[in-house]
Amino acid sequence: MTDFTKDSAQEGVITRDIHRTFPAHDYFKDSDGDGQDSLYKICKAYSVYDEEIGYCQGQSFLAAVLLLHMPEEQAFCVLVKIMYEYGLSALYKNNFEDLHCKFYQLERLMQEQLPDLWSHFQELNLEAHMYASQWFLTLFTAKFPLCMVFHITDLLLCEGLNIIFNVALALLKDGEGNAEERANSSEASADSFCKAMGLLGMGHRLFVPKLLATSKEDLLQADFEGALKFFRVQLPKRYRAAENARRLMEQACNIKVCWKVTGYCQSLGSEK
Amino acid sequence: MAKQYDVLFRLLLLGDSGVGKTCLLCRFTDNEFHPSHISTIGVDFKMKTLKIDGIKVRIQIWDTAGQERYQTITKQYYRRAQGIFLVYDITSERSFQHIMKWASDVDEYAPEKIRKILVGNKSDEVDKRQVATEQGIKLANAYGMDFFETSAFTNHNITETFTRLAEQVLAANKKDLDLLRMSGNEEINLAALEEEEGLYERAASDESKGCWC
Repeated sequence: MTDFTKDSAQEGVITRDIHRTFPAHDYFKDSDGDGQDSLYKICKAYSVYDEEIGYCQGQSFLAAVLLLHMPEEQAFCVLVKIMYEYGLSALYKNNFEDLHCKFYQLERLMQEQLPDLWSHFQELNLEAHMYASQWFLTLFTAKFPLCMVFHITDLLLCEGLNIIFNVALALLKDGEGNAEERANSSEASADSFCKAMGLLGMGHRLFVPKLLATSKEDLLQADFEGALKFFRVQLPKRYRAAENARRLMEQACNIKVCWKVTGYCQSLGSEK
Repeated sequence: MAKQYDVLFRLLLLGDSGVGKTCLLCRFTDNEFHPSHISTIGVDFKMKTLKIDGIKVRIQIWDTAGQERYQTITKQYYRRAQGIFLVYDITSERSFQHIMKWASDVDEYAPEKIRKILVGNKSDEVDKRQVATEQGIKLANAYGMDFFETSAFTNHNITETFTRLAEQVLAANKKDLDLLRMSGNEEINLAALEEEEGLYERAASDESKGCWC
């Protein structure tokens, strides 16, 4: 049995991060509030429970999202499940080797599905780790509006860790194609989205709004600094509108991730 | 279109988690102090244009996660940088002790020509001080670096620190700069020069406004 009262080597980092996890959220903003107290307990307990990984910066955001849905004991158990059974723990292991593999996979998927944006990023020397580190290490929980974060977490629990590629690609191409095409394709292929949402008791009627610009168009026009600023500022803001968040999630569900391509990383890994 | 800068280079903020790297950066680029920003996960990025000796210097500043294991991610940025801030917290002896480790990593992974500066942050917290100013000076001397005590909270020595490192990087690259200027290049990208690769030829069309943290 794990002794949760045991000292954790990462105590200092945990304490500092607790104040820096959703500091604007009512439940987490007070230093001596229940939210920070529960968050501290979960992070500390996990750091003692998982001796190999301990606490890794980024985990506190996922733990906080879980805490907004359930009491701390359950949140801890779900965190353990996500780390061990959904495979999130692999991301933090061995000097982030798996994380780097996922960056590589994301770039291959971009090359395949968004070739113009991929070439543009190549020209700018803009690499996936520059914008996707926070996405992957926090499972998109740190910067995006919570309504969208909850959808992503639901999708993860239904479909598994691979949805990080669906969400990342959807963020990069959001709104691609004209409104009519989107409406048609969404009718034809929104099944999986409806299924996922239905499973969660969230069978909203799908709504496909008209868009003025897409992420891809914005990014194609941006230079290096502009693109990074887009990722940090404009992109999270865009999803404050619930319908934009819903459209993005629908798009994420419709993206096909081809594992022949992404599987390449394994052979790359074995060559090393 | 008037050129927006004469030269571009990259600086990197390194130091333990919680020493105030993100706050230093927010104060410098946006003149704001946010006691409650989120932890930096992976890397973050801001930029600002300075005028030094009549030269418009565009600096891209990379902010990093401080937890030790993140170094495999942040190390990728060492070789791309021309200048590094080694930051500790004057209220944390531990963060000061770790400067040695950060410095030896920089020596191992960063280009030889890289300029470094030592920063003791949170100088406003006098009651909690654990690291004397003299200790900072001594360490900086041992490494041949300049040293500043700063406070992002009171805005003490922030512009001075960033400007000093920018000046040192400029001086260290002066020869390259002069050569390029004679050849008539419009904008000079030190970063690309050293990597012999690609290019951020146009400055961003708008200055950074507001804080991203």
